[in-house]
Amino acid sequence: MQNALFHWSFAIPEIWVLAMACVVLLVDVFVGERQRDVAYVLSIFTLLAAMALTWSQMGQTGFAFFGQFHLDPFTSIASFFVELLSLLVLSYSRKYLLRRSLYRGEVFVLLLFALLGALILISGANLLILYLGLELLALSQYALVAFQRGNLRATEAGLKYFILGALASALLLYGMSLLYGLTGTLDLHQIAIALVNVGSANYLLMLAVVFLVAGIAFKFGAAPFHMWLPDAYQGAPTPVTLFMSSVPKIAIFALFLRILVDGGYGSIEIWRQLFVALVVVSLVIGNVVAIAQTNLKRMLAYSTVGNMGFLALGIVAGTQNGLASAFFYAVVYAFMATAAFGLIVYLSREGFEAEEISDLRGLVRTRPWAAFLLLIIMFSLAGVPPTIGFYAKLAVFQALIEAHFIWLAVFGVLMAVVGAFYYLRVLKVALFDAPAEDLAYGADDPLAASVLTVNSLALLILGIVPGALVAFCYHALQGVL
Amino acid sequence: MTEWLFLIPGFPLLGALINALFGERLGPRWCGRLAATMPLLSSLVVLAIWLGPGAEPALLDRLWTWMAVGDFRVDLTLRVDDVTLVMISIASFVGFLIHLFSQQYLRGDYGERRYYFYLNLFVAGMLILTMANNLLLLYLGWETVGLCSYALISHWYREPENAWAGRKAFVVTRIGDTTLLLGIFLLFAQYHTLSISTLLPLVTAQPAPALLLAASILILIGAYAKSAQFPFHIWLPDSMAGPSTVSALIHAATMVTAGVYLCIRLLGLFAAVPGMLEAIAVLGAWTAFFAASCGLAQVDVKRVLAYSTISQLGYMFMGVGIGAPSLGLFHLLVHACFKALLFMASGAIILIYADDHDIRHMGGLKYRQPFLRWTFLAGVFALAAVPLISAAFYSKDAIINASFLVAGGGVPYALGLSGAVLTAGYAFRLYFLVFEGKPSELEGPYQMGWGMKIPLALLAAASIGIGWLQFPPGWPGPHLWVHWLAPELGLPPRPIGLEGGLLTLVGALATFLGIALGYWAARRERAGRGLSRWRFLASGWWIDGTILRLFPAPFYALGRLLRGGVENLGVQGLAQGGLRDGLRLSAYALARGENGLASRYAVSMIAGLLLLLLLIWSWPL
Repeated sequence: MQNALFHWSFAIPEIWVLAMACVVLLVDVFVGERQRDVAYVLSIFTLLAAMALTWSQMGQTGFAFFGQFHLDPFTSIASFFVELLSLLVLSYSRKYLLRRSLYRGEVFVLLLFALLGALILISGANLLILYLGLELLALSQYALVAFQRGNLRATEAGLKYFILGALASALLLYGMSLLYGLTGTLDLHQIAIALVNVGSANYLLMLAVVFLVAGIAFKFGAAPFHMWLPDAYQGAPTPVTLFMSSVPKIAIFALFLRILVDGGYGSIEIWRQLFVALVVVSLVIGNVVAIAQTNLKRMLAYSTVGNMGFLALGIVAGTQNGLASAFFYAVVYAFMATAAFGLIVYLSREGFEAEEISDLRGLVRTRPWAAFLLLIIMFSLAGVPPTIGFYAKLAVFQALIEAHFIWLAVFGVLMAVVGAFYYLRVLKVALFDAPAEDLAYGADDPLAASVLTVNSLALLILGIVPGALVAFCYHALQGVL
Repeated sequence: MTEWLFLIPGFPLLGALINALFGERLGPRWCGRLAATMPLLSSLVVLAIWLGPGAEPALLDRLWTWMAVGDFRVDLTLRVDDVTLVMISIASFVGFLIHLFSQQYLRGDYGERRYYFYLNLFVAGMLILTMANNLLLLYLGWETVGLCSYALISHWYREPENAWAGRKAFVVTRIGDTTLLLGIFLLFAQYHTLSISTLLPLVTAQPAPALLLAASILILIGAYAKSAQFPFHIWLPDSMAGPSTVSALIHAATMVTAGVYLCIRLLGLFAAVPGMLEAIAVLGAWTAFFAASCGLAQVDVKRVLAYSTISQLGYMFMGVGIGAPSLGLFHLLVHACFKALLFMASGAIILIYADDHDIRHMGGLKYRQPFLRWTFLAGVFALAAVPLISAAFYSKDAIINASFLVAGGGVPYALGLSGAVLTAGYAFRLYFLVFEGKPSELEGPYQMGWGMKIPLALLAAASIGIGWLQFPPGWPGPHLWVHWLAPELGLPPRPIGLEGGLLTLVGALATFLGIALGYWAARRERAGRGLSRWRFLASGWWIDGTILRLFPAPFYALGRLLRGGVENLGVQGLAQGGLRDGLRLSAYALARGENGLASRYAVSMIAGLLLLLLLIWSWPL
């Protein structure tokens, strides 16, 4: 059988990242405090090379490791995006880490391991492999959140995240075991075949899907499983928040795609209903609660909840077009979130995190260019044309209407209007309020500045010329159904 | 060549971008120089098209697909055919001349950088509008020029009237923008395409009479609002609050002609609706006559020209309506030259008279400013269509004469001809009052630099000579224009032989009659018994006041009523207490629920899980 072959070459990017994570760990032991840049540069190099390796695999398809590992266009494209996003995270945060004496090899290693987990999630074709990838990603993130051991808030956030994350993992694992019990296999394609005979009216299958969806929703940060998110976002060092708001979103979409589409598409009638409920709750909670936030990071956390609601609209549509639009939304959201948190990282300095909304008062007077980028980012998050955020929402709503969920689409649009309020409020503070005298921004990292500029302008330019990115993302989902 | 088309709107757009981002560092002088260079570069590209491949067949440049969702597809495609070529030549070259003129005209003013930013953005928007092959892209340009018009009318925003005038212009044209958009929606709903070059054949192949009627009326309202046609003309006289250069560029040469251009571009659509073109012809002739009569009674130098613009645009619409679009386009070109000239010259006149706009306070300017006098006179000749030596004689009179030939052309002909008398009347009234007679003591010293003189001289030459491109039929001399445009717009009806000669003679007589009228009106005005005392004409047939009283005033009254009654009683209690506070309270309540206790979070997760279970169990399968 073709898929029984031990095609290890398909997994070269994963192997490369794993090997290099170990190398960075080793090198970091031997270099002194002064040469910490060696580890940093090595990590950057690792990511660049991983992107090149992934790119070279583009277009290949097949299975490796006895059917446990799946290479298809989605694998390559999603992997490429998570590697690129990790690269962005690293380039944003050098100065931030340096200033808080967090510029240590462990951070880079944990980041690489988290990336490895995401890559495994994207390419797993077996429930056990997926679970391993998920745990690798999650464990690295727990550690990253709590990395500032001296910081009470950070350790508290890390602990909460860990406890709740463990609970969610347990739910997911329980769902997986039910699925295994029902079909007798861990292989997703065998599961898909077996489910044809089971039919969607099976109560055991319902139970399994409920647990799986609950677990996935937790990882996405969809309400009502979102409680950990604001605390973790706020407590974690901003570069870690930056990572958490971008890379895992794509990876968890992959988890959903692998389990519930590759494996469980037979149960679409079940999980679609569940996602409708999640969408409604997420859109309300995310968009309404964000209004009450004064902390920018918490506000963006609730914005994540709301955005996961919009993403799940594409999932509810459930068609080829809907799933593609959801993936497109995930990618676009990840880049918007990196830009937003990247701006916070860029503006902060020692003893000043620039994370309160009021910290941005009169930004346009003191930092006009940063204020302009903030304008693009917030417009994009709110979905104002001609930014890419508009296009992402448009694609999701279009798929939803095609699948005849008219009322849900109307509800989503209304919630987008509510959402526009708190994004625009940030702009109001930054553009129209008088600047405070006591505020001094960091904003002196040329690397972060240039990356931020490229990242934010991309949101605008891709909104004007979205063709290539859309085609790329839609190509990834070709032939999934 | 086609792959370079994007440069034409690209240069001014780049200029606007640079001025917006780095203008502060450049300083006002360099902002102006940069802004003037950009339309020059555009016009060089346009010149390259003229000299190089020409625009036959039409040049197409598909930039990219902006969006494709289902059958809704927006390709950003630029298209240049002969008609477009004329428009972009005007927008870029006349635009450049006006930028050049602005350098001295606006020096030392406040907001120079803002001015140049909007002026460049305007030129870019106008070029996009004219070059768009897609209705949505056209609409983008349409809105851009509307926005810039608003911002530039209110340029001297520190005086509240100027801001009010800008707002009025914006709101009135906005009505037209909205109907245009609705018309585009209707067309898309029926034909599933926004590309003009695919749409027009479809309209003829699969006519849908009711829908086409609705769509063409909606689009026509859009064109009328933009081109200040009756009864949407009320914004244009007030828009004179902006700098004269702005009036020259936006409210004479380019933006207001966008409506005419739209009608020419979508001629296939209007032709597919029976009776539509005839209505356009009659309305155009009526506007031409009506606005010319108002022009006779104005005392503000710029308001004379504003009513004149409305009237001249009426002639262009009339040309389109009677089936002579190429003559309408010809008059558009001629008008762009002489009206830009007159507006810029009037800007200089106002500066000379220390910001006094009232022509009754002027006089005898020809002694101290001979250059200004001769160039202004060239513009007045063109406006009045003085026979043989002015361009409008070959364009406007051709339209009037052509209307005599078409069936049902009697009304347009009569209105057009009497309008021509009035036109010559107000044109020469203006000239006699400002330049002839005794010098006024208000006159101050003013030295025009070459940056102001060159544009005036070039435009004066064009106002006289550009008509010689197209002599009346049967005359010796070139007959380039209509034949050149014939493949796209067809040949217009043109009188020949004895009939042609007689009609031309009647037109010339009308002009001379008008000049006499102007001399008489100027003398009476000097004596303090002028037409300006006739409120009916001076207020524009009371139309502005009537409209303000009919539409906005009831809304204001309703607004006061609602604020006093409903708002205080009901809405404040309900909407604020209910909706806003409800949203806020629920936001805080929900936020407080998330109080940081991990155990509570876990409980809520389990509750969520139970909810999902409940949902799935209660779901009928």
